[in-house]
Amino acid sequence: MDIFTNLGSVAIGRALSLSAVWSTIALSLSSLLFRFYVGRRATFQVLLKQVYFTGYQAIPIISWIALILGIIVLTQLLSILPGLGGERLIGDILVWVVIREVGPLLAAVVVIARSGTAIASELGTMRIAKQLTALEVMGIDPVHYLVMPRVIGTAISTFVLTFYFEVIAILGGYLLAGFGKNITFSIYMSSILGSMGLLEIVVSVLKSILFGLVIGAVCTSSGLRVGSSITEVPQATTKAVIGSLAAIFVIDALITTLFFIRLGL
Amino acid sequence: MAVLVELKNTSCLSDDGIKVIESATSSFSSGQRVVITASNDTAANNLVGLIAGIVPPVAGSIRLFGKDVSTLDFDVLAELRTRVGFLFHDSVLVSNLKVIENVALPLIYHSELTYEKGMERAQKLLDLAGYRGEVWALPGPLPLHVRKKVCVARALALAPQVVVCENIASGLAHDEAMLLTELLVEYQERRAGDRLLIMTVDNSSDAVLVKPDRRLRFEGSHLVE
Repeated sequence: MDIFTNLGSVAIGRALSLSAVWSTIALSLSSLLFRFYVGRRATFQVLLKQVYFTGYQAIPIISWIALILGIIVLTQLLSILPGLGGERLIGDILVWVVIREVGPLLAAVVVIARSGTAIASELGTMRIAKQLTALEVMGIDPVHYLVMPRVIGTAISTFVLTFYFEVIAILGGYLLAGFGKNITFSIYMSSILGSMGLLEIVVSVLKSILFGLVIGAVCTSSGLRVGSSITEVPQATTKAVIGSLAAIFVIDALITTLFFIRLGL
Repeated sequence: MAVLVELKNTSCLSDDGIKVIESATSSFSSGQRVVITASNDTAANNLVGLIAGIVPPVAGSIRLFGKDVSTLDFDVLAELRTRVGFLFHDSVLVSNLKVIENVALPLIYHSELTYEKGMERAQKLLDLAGYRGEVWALPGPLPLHVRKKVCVARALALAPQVVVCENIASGLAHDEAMLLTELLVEYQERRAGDRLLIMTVDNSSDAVLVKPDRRLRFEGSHLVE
């Protein structure tokens, strides 16, 4: 009986966390769409800062990871495929690996590591210091001023970083690993462009935006669940990272299954 | 004189469930300067929290500009809160905004002022409150008396009709306390028939600085005139 009780309470806990995440996304989107003009100058400042921190400041680390991934994948392909007579598959495999899967995932992991932790710990600390109450008594809605710009800013940044990651991995990978080998740049690019259809672009965009929204929502809701003790802040940050990672891998699997297995593409 | 703040048999509990305000009944009108002596910090803090709508009453009601704050939705309450300047004892500032941005925040959020105009107004308010530090510093390391100056500047940013202030003198040197109290009294006197100033103090000697029209005090959990 105890096992069922424990399982039940774990399931209820998971369901509550999930509903908190989806309601945070819903509140943020409705705040953006229906309360756009409320305090728009102040909230736009917060949004810009979030995009600057999450997107712009992540460019160096994203560039390194994308370049290294591009080099690894292309080196492996150029060492295996020519022996099998499968050079024409280079474009297909790069699109499958970089555009469909690894690009959106790795960009999201960098966003979680850099910004998700910062969002959760910052909001947790603000809550303990009663700064949310201070905003409320000034007539400022903390969801509209603090949560919405962070969720939307994270989504915009993840989308842009994913696109940037994919371009750097494909172009940089060729320049560092493929240049001088028995494949010209024009053949390399035409192979990639020939393998990339509208579906690949739609899936990559969909994944990056969903990942960004979910990371923003998981991290803000973790931060806002902090009670009154400062020791809850690192716990909330850990939960935010684990929750975001779990969520993006599950969403990735769902989207891949939906688009590429069910459709047989 | 219009009644701006009204308590009717209002009771509330502290965080640990003790009744700190019991059946308080009083009304405060425009043009008044009111001092409430509360030797118990929790009662003063809860009274300001009740008026701000962040402490829910367990009995009775609290009306701000004629509206029961415990029944209002956030947007209506937010509109009322822009007409009141609240100063809490702990003087909380938003930690990721610079000092000047803290003061400009209500201006930029609630009005059509541009960012630059908001900053100009905020600078003037900081000068008025006697702030002499770096306006582009983060507020984290500021001592309490400096944070209080910034909070006074922020509370007056939207030119509120009502100012509710919790123990402004507490933790300050006499000169600092006098400066801020005089600033608030001057602010109320500038449109004396229209503005209401409610200040809680923890001892009656602080009340002298305010030159109040009305004095109330907490006897235990009871508010008496």
